[in-house]
Amino acid sequence: MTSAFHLQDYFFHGRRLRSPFPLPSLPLWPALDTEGRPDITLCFGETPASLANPLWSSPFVQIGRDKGALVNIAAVGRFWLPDNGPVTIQPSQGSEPFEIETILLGTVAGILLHQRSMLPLHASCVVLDGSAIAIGGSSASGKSALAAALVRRGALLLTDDLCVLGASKHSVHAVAGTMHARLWPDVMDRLEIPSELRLPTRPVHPKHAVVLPAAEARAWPLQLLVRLGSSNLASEPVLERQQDLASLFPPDTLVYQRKIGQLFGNAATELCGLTALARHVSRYSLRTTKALGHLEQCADLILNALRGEA
Amino acid sequence: MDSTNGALFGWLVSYPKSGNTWLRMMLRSLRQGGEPIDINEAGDAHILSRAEFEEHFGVESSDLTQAEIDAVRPELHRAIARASKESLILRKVHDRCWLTASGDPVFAPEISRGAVYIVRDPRDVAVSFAHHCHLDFEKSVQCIGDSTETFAGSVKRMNSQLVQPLGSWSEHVTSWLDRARMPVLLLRYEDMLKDPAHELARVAGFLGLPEADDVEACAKAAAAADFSRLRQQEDEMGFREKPAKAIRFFRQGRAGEGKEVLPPHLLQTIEADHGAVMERLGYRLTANSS
Repeated sequence: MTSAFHLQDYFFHGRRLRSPFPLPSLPLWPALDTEGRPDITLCFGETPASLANPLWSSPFVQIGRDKGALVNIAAVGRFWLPDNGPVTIQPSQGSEPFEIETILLGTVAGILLHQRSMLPLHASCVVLDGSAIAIGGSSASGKSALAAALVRRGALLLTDDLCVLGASKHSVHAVAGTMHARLWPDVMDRLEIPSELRLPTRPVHPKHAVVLPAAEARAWPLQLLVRLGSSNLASEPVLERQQDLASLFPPDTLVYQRKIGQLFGNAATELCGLTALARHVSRYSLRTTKALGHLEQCADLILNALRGEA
Repeated sequence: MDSTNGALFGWLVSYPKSGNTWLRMMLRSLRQGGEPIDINEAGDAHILSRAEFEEHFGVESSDLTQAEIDAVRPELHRAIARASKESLILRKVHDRCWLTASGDPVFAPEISRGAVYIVRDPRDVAVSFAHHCHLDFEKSVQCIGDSTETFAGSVKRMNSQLVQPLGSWSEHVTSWLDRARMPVLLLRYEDMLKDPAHELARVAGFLGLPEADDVEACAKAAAAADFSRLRQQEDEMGFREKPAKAIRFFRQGRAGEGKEVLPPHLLQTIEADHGAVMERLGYRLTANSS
């Protein structure tokens, strides 16, 4: 896996990540910047099998009292994230490089971002006419599908599923993440994604990583936050602008794995980020059915809203 | 049954389209003293979701294989029980009673107060299931006879629910009635239609709810969740649990429709597939299935 590959720097949610193996889902770190040191380094090696007396534990994730974290997906490998130091990956025998990337840029990335005191939203994000549109929602709410539908209408993918926010005094930025959207067969078929653009995520798994036209890897001003609520209450999709702070609640479905952020003591980071969202970003709720026939309609509603904000 | 034994879950179990949601609505009203209910109010006795899996395990569920998810289902229930501050967690269940590949019961006895198992004539289930899943009757009858049938198990699309193994209708029934390793209260849908307040009181008593002996509250709750009222609310406001393809969730809710609308060869198939269990439950066989 590593024999013919030299270390490569990638743009990982605004951080410089150095990897000993290819990560085709991530944009490359700008070639002109050859001097800087990486913020995060990946390496292969031995990891702890488990953490003793962890602060929090599940069958897949342990968070240590020293803020180290261990992710263990038996068929793929273990990922050790010490509070400081390189992220160590111990692949399981027979695991495929693409599934290591899947876990690394999904669950592991979310934990890593919280550990580094960043604020990852559970959102996919696209860029259109210089403005970023984040689509937030819980799992299976259709974030990636809607992002892909927007890309089909001319937007560029900024990130899928995990969207890091950067806030300044007067604006909020969304930061580039993965260039692949992870989609299920029904959506890929609906959007007529050619088979050569469908990359496997796991050896036997219907979800695929789809190569989409991507925005330049940097931070973009976040214009719209659309929160998806799957509902069959309305027969047609309804997009509503939201004025009050209630639009950011419950934060549990807005912030990616919020509980893990809290375990790392990131309440202040979260508060700052959500406050900035409330101040500087137009917020919408989109209630829609799961019917795929509404996908394009939802994309049009969002594009109309963006034009209305301009 | 001792309600102070530390057990936490009260499983409201049925094969799909057998009255589970109706019972949940009655219980919702009962726990509010028999007051009118909003069918779209979230939160109580819901089915296990991917979001819960991810919250309790800190992992992206859609990056895992089905086998990886199935293997930790018992632990997920334990995690929910540990995190709960309630003495009783009511949960809707469509799974058959199953074991993981390593032999662990998914519905572990030590965290279960018991299971209310609602059974409905499979001929009526087949009709209702066809409308719910947008299938023709032929396919619906085939589904309820299929040992490999699952709910929310499509590999084409992501579902907000976890995959729930059903098995055939007969296997579903017998898995819970014969192998649940916990107290099981059998409830017939047809008896719920005849006397909903009485059946609700039985459920409340079984689950150890404080309202169990409140006859008036049970009657009010049964009236508040009368099928016509549920249907009317769905007409007026929609129902968030309705599948996208289904025209409506609360459709007819009556007994005997299957025998009226299913063609003879499908009635024969159902009775051939499920006759033994149907007779055990008091559903009279009518087709010549010999």
